[in-house]
Amino acid sequence: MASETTAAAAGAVGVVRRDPMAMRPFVGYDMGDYWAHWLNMGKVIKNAPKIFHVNWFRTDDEGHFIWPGFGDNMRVLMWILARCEGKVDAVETPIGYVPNAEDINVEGLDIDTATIKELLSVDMDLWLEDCKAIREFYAQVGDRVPAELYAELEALEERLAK
Amino acid sequence: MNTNVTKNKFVDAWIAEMVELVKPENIVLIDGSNEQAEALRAEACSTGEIIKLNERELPNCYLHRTAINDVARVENRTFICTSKKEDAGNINNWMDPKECYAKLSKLYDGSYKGRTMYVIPYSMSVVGSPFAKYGIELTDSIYVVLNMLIMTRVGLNVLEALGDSADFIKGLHARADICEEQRYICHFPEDNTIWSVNSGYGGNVLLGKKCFALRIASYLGRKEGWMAEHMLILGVESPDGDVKYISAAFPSACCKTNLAMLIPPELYRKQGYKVWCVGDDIAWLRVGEDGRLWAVNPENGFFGVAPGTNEHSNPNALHTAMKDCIFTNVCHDLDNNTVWWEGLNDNPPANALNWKGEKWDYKTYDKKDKVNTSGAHPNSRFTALAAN
Repeated sequence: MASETTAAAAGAVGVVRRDPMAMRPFVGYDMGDYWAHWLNMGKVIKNAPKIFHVNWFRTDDEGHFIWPGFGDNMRVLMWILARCEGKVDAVETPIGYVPNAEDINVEGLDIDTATIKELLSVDMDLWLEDCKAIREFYAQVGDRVPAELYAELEALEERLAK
Repeated sequence: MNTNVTKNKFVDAWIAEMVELVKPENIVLIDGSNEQAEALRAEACSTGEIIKLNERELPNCYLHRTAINDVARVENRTFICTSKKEDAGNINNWMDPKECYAKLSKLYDGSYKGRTMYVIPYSMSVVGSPFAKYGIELTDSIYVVLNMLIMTRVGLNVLEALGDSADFIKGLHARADICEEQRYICHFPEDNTIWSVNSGYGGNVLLGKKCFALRIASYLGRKEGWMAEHMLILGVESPDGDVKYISAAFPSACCKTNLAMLIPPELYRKQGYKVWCVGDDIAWLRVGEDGRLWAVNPENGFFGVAPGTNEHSNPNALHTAMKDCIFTNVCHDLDNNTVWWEGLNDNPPANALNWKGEKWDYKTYDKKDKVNTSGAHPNSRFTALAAN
């Protein structure tokens, strides 16, 4: 995951940096070992929870947030719960499964399905660029990055390039 | 000076060692009682360390301003001091532990001269829980004591639960001179120790939070087979009574608190959906006997970002912060002795002090230079009890 820096830590604000599991400033040991620990835990948890990636903060050309957020984020949580219960299917994209736009409930919102589609769109070029940044980050983390992460990254790049 | 403060020989031996280093005037054990807390609040008010706010509008609420060079966590002065550099990794700052202890000892030496050493026994998680981990924080700051009383479980019951065990996290904090160039927040995972010096702010000094509950705890989790994560936890109950929990990791100031405390839109409320906050910052996760992942919020309160918090974005947080709360670096409305921050409402106070304690004219606000023109610092906070 990448995110812009905020005022929570001293330094420049708004700089995009990689922040896996939002733990970049908080892992008490080597980041590669931390990823390996996640993979090991995954093997031990018999009924592992599902994992979803969100971006609440996509902006339009003028820099305004497209998605209203706040209490309306529940609409996304509801889709996530439905997905966990197998009650809703999803669209396969190179970055993974994303909702069908129609399955995000917009009742009471001044937002149409076309905008939801835009929010769920996958920009292949941007993602391929991001893969480069991910690769650089892995290099920075060093030689304890689990091989599985490189394998996933390569698979992602292949899917995006198609 | 009597350093047999707790009856636990490991704790007391460590306290004795620290007393010899920082040289306090006296030692006070924080017992978690309201009487003691009230006395400390009164003392902090008398020195100006905190300001009591309008009792009718904000009962039992206080304002504190940190030094203007001390308003956020400082990642470049935060260190993981494992004996081997490669165990800290390339993303962390590393310092050799022996070198670090030596370097910081010089800064701590006599730093409590004329000051009281407060001994805070605290628990991350409910005392006695299988998830619980205990710590002792030594500090020279009443502001730290008052925040810890909200953010963690503090009291003699923690010492009872710890018993004769050596299994606790040692945290030494000293404000010293609040000197930026000598500010260090250092973790020694192999010694279960945290040393923080020359800061008086938040995540640098409330050692139970980032220092213990994330950095030390993640290290322990890897050793012991569990996980400490930077995650909110919320519960969702559907109309038929089925409960699900969601845990989510977002970076600091990216809306964990707002999501954890969200109020469902009308369409879900009228169907009978309920959402509640279990935690807004840290989750400790363990595998249960049923093979599923179980999470607790080890904290006892919320240290939320104030700016942007309002009736629309997070009414729950707003109401939670209106009593028994400590505000840090927000704007002080002098007309009615309350507080204000950017995004609270459209009525900035006409007669106010900004986060630096200077007379503030809201018309000078420039969003391109928030730090210098805001009434409340962008990272200003409220410390509120989860129970509220």
